[in-house]
Parts: sequence; structure tokens; C-alpha cells
Amino acid sequence: MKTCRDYLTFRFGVVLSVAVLLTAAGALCVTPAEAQTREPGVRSSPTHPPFPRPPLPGAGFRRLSPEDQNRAREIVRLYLRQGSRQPYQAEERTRLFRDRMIESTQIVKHQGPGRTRIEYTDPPLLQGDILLVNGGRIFKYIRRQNRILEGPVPVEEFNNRAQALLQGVIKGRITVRVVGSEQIAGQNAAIVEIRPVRGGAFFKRLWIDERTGVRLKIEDADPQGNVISTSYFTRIDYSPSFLPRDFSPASLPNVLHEPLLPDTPPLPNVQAAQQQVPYPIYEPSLPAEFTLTGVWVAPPAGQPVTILRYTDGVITFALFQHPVRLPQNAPERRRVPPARLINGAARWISGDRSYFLIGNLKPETFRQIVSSLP
Amino acid sequence: MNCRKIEPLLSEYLNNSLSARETLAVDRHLSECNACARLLNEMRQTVSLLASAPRREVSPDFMANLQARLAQTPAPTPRRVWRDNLRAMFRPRTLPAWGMAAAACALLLFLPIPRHVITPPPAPNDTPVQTADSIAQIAKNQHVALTAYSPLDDLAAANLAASSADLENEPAGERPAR
Amino acid sequence: MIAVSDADARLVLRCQANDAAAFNEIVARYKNKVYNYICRMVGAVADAEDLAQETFVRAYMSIHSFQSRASLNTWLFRIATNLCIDYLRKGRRAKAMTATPCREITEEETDAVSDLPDERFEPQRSLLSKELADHLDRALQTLPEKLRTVMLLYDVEGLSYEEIAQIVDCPLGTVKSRLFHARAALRAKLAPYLDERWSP
Repeated sequence: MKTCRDYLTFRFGVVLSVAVLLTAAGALCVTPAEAQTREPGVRSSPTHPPFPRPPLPGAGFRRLSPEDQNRAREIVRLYLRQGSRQPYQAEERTRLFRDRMIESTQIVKHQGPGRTRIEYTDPPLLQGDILLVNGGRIFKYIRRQNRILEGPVPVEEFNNRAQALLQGVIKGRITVRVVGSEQIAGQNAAIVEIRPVRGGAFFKRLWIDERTGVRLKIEDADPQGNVISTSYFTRIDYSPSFLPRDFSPASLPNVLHEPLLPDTPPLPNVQAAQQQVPYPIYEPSLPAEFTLTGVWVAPPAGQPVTILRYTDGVITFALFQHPVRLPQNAPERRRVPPARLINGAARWISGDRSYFLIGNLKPETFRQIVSSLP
Repeated sequence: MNCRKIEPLLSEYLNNSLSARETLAVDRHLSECNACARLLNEMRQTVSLLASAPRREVSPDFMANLQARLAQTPAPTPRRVWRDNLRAMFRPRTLPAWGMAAAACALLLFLPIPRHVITPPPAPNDTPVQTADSIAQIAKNQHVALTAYSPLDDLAAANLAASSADLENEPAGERPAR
Repeated sequence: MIAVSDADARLVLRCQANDAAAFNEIVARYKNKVYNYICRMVGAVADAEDLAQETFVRAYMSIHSFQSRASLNTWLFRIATNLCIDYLRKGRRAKAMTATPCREITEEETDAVSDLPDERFEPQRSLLSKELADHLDRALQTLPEKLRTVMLLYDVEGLSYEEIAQIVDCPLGTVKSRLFHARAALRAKLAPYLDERWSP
């Protein structure tokens, strides 16, 4: 045990020093000039709201002291270790900033790790929908269609993503820093920015309750700092009284459950997936910072879809592929890959294959993926 | 109603499974009776404690041990099933049902049968999700599931993106090759 | 008629076509659920794992006679309930109480890797203190089996009245009344731990 602790202490030391060195280096040379100088409030697209300016002098990159690094590390640790264990009931608003803003309001009930229920109250299209996560499974009740989609959720995801974040920090690809503080739903939150060191990538900001570790707000931003989506609590109750049925699938309407993903753990690699599908699986070429985090083969059984999921330690994206037969007179435009992702998604057909990609990627990364696939 | 009549209803009240009339009666009583309000409160806490108690996990060699046990178990024989079912069908308590069925058959022989009744029903839908949704919609919903435990992802945003039909940007009407 | 989860129904059909992988999937899906229930039914004993295995062996033996009249979930809980009641009635309890406790994820296990983002997914992590959890276990064991069964199935496993009625083979009214008596009895035993200030 002692050896293990020593190792961990050593590892922590390495993380700290490497992160400090790299952040310092980042501050001096690798930060895009634009990010240093541009006012967060002035953005090219009027539909994108500006990032709330953190109440710190010089909101752009600045040299981080070991104390700053330490504080960011502690808050992220609080979030990962305590945040998911804290029960709460909250009202949450979600906004997607696309061609126009799309918004939803929902009640979030969280009882502990892996036990969450989200009940939609607005917009009318989603009112009455329920998303229930419990016991390693997800149930999505769609009221207007009166159906439930059910599938396993990859429970190793929490650990994988946390480890990818750690690895990213160790290897100097990711910086984690506190960029300010703000009151969200009446709680004091530290704003933590998690950003790949290499310039021009998508990044995230998390508002972590400094007392409980609960994530009160999250923003996803494009490389220019435009917010592309956000979710934040408008009210939170840390002493909720739940009934066990709140987290039971039996509480959902009595309709047939349709499978969402196969009831098997994610496959260990593409080779394992290859044995389950009657077509060759194509893997995209990617920048070095991306690693494969999961492979699934999803129904229908006759023509399964292969899902490859990747992360750069901060964002994730998923590539879906399956063979497709287009009618001979299909318009040519359906074979032309889109030049960029629209609203975080793109669909295209190339050769015998239909591809669908969900995630936020730089146009050049997306083009690299498209051109590398047959 | 008095406390003796209210008390047995409290558990149902907690489960929201009383009729509107009973609920009203309990509400009324609770507003006047501290003892019952306290009992309800403590019962609610008890249920909540029970639900949040630690759950146990089997040991890592559970599957291996079970496999070993199953290997020593004779393979289940489907044959026995129909024999059992047949036996069950002719148990004394099912005999009246047979009588009714025979009578119904006799009656049916003399009735005209509408065409749609004898048309075979459509084959069961093997993959309801796939046929009801476009591939992109399926992918978006699967993406929600993949996001559910991710500490750096926004589940609500992923679900909003998956749920909003007006966010669709894929070519319409396409289905996987069969 | 209880709606059968489509995924479960497919697994059962595959099992009935002698697909061994499908049975493994059923076990993977239900093993912790069944085990957790059995632990609470018979007390925290090593025999619980044996009983959980026996549940799946019996399910395997009679999978061909399973006809989706109930859900797979209900069926497995019915088998487990019958096994637990047999076990308790055969008086093996005395021996069991001294046996090894069920495996529970411990603080040490989670703290062993205590560096930054080392959090594992732990749905089983308790929000209760060890003392209260132990007390709850002991209190549960003092409830009559019939009450304990209904309470665990409803309040812990989230089954409906109808499903429980199928499992314990009694009318809905009896299920409701047992649930009330179980909750009232457990409440009395946990009284020192309950907070009067909690608002209803």
C-alpha cells in the first residue's frame, strides 16, 4: 500500500510540474493571438451569446501559478469524487446556439452515481419526456410517440473520460484552470476551464459548486470562444426527498421498450467488432491527440451499424457507419460530403458506405476524417 | 376520518396510489393531526433510507462459478415443456374453458367471417427503432446513451439535440440496406 | 399484463433457441440485482451468492417453459424469493450469520487510487453512513419474511404492485397491506436515526 501511495504522490508531482511547465509555455508561445486579445463579448455571429466574462483580470491566457493549478486540480477532483454522490433536485435550462437558439427546461433528480432522472417541462415538443439513468441502463420515454428506448450505458465511460483527462494533463495536451467564480442557482461556483493546449480546439467550462462538487453549469465553446451549448441550474435543492420509484423504470408508462444499444459491453477494439459485421469497418485518420474510447455494433441484426467513439480528452465524437444502397437515380449531392459539421453533426455517403458523425470538430479535422475514409 | 382509519392509508398516500377522495381525506387529516403527519414523515424517510442503502455486487468470479455449475447441470429440454403444457391444458380446472371454446367454435362455423379477420397480421416488427426512425435519429439517441456517464459531456444538451426534429440536417427517407 | 422489455424478450427467445451467449447476457444483466435482493432477504451472508447462482441455474433449467406472461425481471425475482424463503425456513440462518459478509465496495477500494480523476463508476456507492447501513440491515432482518419480501421488491427493486402480487402469489390488496406494515415496522426500528425536522 505504501508503495502505491508513493507512486501516486510521485505521479501527482509529475502531473503538477508538467502541467505548470506546459501552461507557462502555452502562455508564451502556443496561445492563438486572437484568444489573447479579442474581447469575449465581440463575436462574429450575433446569435451566439458571449461567454460571461470571468471576473478575473485578463480573462485570456495568463501564466498560472502552482497554486492556481493546484486549486483547479482540487476543484476538478471535488467534482469527480464528490459531485456525483451528492443528491439533489434541480431545475435546469439547456440552450443550443444554432441557426436559432433552441431551449429546453427540465427537472433533474439526482440520487447518487448512476441514478438520474430528467423530466422535461418545456418546450411543448418535449414536455412529459423522461430520461432515466439507473443501474447502468438508460430509458428514454418520448411522450409524443408513446415509446421507450432502452439500452445499456457504457458505465466505464466515467472512468475512461476522467483518465483521458488525467492523461491529457500529464502529457501536456490539456490545461485545467480556474478562470473565475460566479453564483449559479444561489450557490458559489468556481468556473473551471478545460481546454486542449494546442490552439484552435473546442473547449469546455464547468461551474462547480465549491461546497458540494456538483456541476451547476456547463458550456461547450468553439475554438473562437463562441458558446455552442450550455446547461445550467436555475434552482437547486440539496435535501430532496425521493421515492425509490423515481429511479425505477416501473415508474415510466407501460409501453414496450425498444432496444437502443446491444446489451453487451463495448467491444475492446475494432478487430472484435469486425468479427460481428459482414462488411469491412473503415477507421478514419485522426490527429494524434484523438484516441478511440469505445466500439459498438448496434442493431439491426441484418445490417448492423458500427459505432466508433473518440476523444481528445476534452470533447468526444462518434462515427457511425453502415453499408447503404442508393437508388441509381439518387441525386449526386447525396454523395458529396459536407464541408463542415452543421449543428455538430454530418451525414454523407461514400462508396458503399453511409457515415454519420456527431460531435464538435474543427473543419480541418472533419475534412481529414472525410478524406481518409473510402 | 380518525387516525386509525388514516394510518393504513399513509403508505399508499406516499406512493401516490390513493383515489382522489382518499387523498383529500388524508390531506385534510394531516393538516390537523401532528401525530399522523409525523408518522408519514418518518415513513417517507424510512423508504428513502432503504432506497439509498448500499447495493451489493457479486464477486468477480461469480460468472466463472456459475458456468462451472451450469456445466454440471443437464441441458434443459424443451420437449418436457410441451408435455407439461399439454398436461396443464387438461387439468380439471381448465375443462370448463374447453367446453366454452368448443361452443364458440361451433358458433363461428355459422357466422360470416370478414375478410380482414382471415388476412394474416403483418410480420412482427423485429427492429422497431430502426424502422421507425432514420439512421441519423437512431445515431443521435445512441449518442445520448453514450454521453450519460461522461463527466465532461452535457447529457441534457445531447438529448435536446437528439429530440428536436427541426435540427435534422441529414438527407431524408434513407434506410439501411437490407 | 405487464409489458415485457423487448430486449429481455429477445434474450429469452434466443435462450430458448439454445443460444448460450444470450443466457450469459441475462446473467450479466440481472446478477447484481438478484444478488442484492437475496443479500437483504437472507442477511449479509456468503450463502447469498450461492442462492443467486442457484436462481440462475433454475432459470436456465426452466427457460423453455418461460412464456413471457410475466417479465423476465418478475420471473427471476420469483425464483429468488422462493429460494430465499426455503433457505430461511430450513433454519440455515444460524450458520449463515457467522459467514462472510457480502461483497460491498469499500472506502479502501475507492481510496486506493486516490489521485485526480480516478473516480470509478460506482452506482452502488452508498449515501448512508456505515453505522446506519448496518443498523438498517439488522432492522430488515427482524421483519417477518412476508413483509420484508414485499418491501424489498417495492421500495428497493422498484417493482409494481402487480408484479409483486405475481411473485408472492397473493392479491394486490395483500401486497399493499404488507407494504404498509413493513414500512411502519421498519420505521419504528429506525426511529433513532430519523430526523424530526424533515419536512413532509
